[in-house]
Amino acid sequence: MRKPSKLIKPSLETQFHIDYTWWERSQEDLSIYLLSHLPPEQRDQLSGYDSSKLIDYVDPETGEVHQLDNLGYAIRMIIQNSEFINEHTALVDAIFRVFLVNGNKPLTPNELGEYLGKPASTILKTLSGGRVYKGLRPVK
Amino acid sequence: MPHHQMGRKLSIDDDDLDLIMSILLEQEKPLSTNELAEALIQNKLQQETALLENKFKDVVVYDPSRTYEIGQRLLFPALEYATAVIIDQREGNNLDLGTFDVIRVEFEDGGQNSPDIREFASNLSVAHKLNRDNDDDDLFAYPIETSSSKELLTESFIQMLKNFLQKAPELASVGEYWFLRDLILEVNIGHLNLAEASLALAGGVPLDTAHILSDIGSLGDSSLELQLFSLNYHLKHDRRFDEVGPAGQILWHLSEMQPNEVKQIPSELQYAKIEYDRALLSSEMLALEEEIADEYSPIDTQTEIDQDAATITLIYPHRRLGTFPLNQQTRQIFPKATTASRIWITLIDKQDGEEFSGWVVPAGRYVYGLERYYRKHRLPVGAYVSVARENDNPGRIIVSFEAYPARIEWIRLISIQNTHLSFKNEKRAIGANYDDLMIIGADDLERIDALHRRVQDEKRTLFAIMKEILPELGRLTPQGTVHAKTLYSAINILRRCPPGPILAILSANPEFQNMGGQYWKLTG
Repeated sequence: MRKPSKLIKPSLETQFHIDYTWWERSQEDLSIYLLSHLPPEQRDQLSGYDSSKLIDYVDPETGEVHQLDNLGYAIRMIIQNSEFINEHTALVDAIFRVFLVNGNKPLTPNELGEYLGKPASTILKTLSGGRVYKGLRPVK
Repeated sequence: MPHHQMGRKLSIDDDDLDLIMSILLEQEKPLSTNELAEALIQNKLQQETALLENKFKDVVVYDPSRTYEIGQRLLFPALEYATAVIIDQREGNNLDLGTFDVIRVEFEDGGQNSPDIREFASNLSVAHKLNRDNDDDDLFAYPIETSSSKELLTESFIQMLKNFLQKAPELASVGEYWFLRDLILEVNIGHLNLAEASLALAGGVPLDTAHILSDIGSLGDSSLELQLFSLNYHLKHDRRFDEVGPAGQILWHLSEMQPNEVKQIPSELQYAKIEYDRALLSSEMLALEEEIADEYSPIDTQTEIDQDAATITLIYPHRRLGTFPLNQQTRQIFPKATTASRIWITLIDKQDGEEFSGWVVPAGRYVYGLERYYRKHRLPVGAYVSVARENDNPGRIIVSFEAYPARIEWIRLISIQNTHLSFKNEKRAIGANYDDLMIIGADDLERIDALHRRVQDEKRTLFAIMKEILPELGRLTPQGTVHAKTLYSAINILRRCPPGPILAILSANPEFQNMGGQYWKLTG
């Protein structure tokens, strides 16, 4: 089967996710952006953290252990807070947080709209413009 | 709870045949396809359970609060009940959780839980969703949920088993029952002659196998089921006997005592299929075709079919032969058979309760046995005749018509002119409700029979018959027009034909002119 052209315009049914390869090429720093999702006091504690020091994170559902650095651990803990995604969160940040919470499982603008209570067309317009925001791109 | 799909896609192989043979041997009696299917499924489920029990033997359900040792096997309820072996252990590192251990496990199910090697918490003091309240490590405190036998006993599995058993030379079948061919009891020529005498004495009424067995005496000490099966098997393979019971019931009859109209489809009822373009039929014509409901019309009615009663309008060949059509509606009323090519039934006159022997002949699409009934009530061609089941007994059918005190009415009467069919209006006493467009009276049946034979011998085409009959019928009305229904009823005196080809010829041929509604006349 032929691969769909990259030039195909995304639709309300196109699946998006966080493209971490975009972050590798980007001039933006993923760690700094992730820090911005934490409360200010936690952010201060983590400034200049040692990323080689690993913590055992225990999955609350399965008991599986994942070794994470301090930032990764803090993010894993914060996403369990029901207020992590709220109505005051900016749209791009809210979409990014949805993918942090769901383990980066691809979702369509329709699904994201339902999750966030925002119009799917607005989400599509945001994600399919000329500029890529925070690595949020269609799944290839 | 552990749930496995293993039993859901059942196949049947030679091992199953061995099992079936041993079941039959053990039970010493024939079993039905359904019973064998059930036994087979039970056996497969037992095997499945044994496999699962083996898989989960010595397995401990994972609980993050417990401590484990290297080499122990764990079951992970949160990971679709995958199993894994502990291959390593270390101290956990997370100040929020206090002291705990981390076990490294290798999954056993080859890739479903990739990566195969993963780490899990153990000896965890903080509460976790997977903590278990009791110390019961018996896995089977979680019942193993396999597919239920009811869930697996599907029509398609039963049919698959039936196809498989039919190919097994070791087995013999009678109806829906199976037994080991080599162990069928001997039935000798003396037994068969006695069976023939028993049926002859019954006077044309079929008998069940138990009745015949009691007449000829037992076949030995074997179970009654095996004796009945063996007798059935030998009767089935002797051409003197014919199995005539409805599905699920074995009844025997003597072939030589069956009416010819049952053994062979009469030529008057045989339809030599005529190809035509159904697109020629207007919606009005299609509605007319559905209303007539001829047993040879390709109708797939959208209306709900009454399963308990149905009515037809009698046409000449059925009236002449004492048959009743099996169309889409009436077929639901009469019993069906799995193996028998004709089924014996009792027809009951609703008016006075008189009973007649009847025969359902599915291949000919008719029921035979109403000649006396039609004559007794002087039912004309075009009369409405109804059939209904008597309670839940599939072999007893009530026949009725809408009777009223006989009154003198003008009707079309068949009149043979040399080698052609003609009609005249005559007065006749009619005591049954009928379709005014289809009623036709007939006096000289033998001349009509002779003309029918002549038309067959001459291979007169439908078109030729229509051109011959239409003006003859037209002469009976001042307008000279003929309704398509009347034409259909009249054509069937000479040739069996459903309305479809007749309507297509009327529609396509310019020699026929539509005069409005479904009234037609010849042009010129």
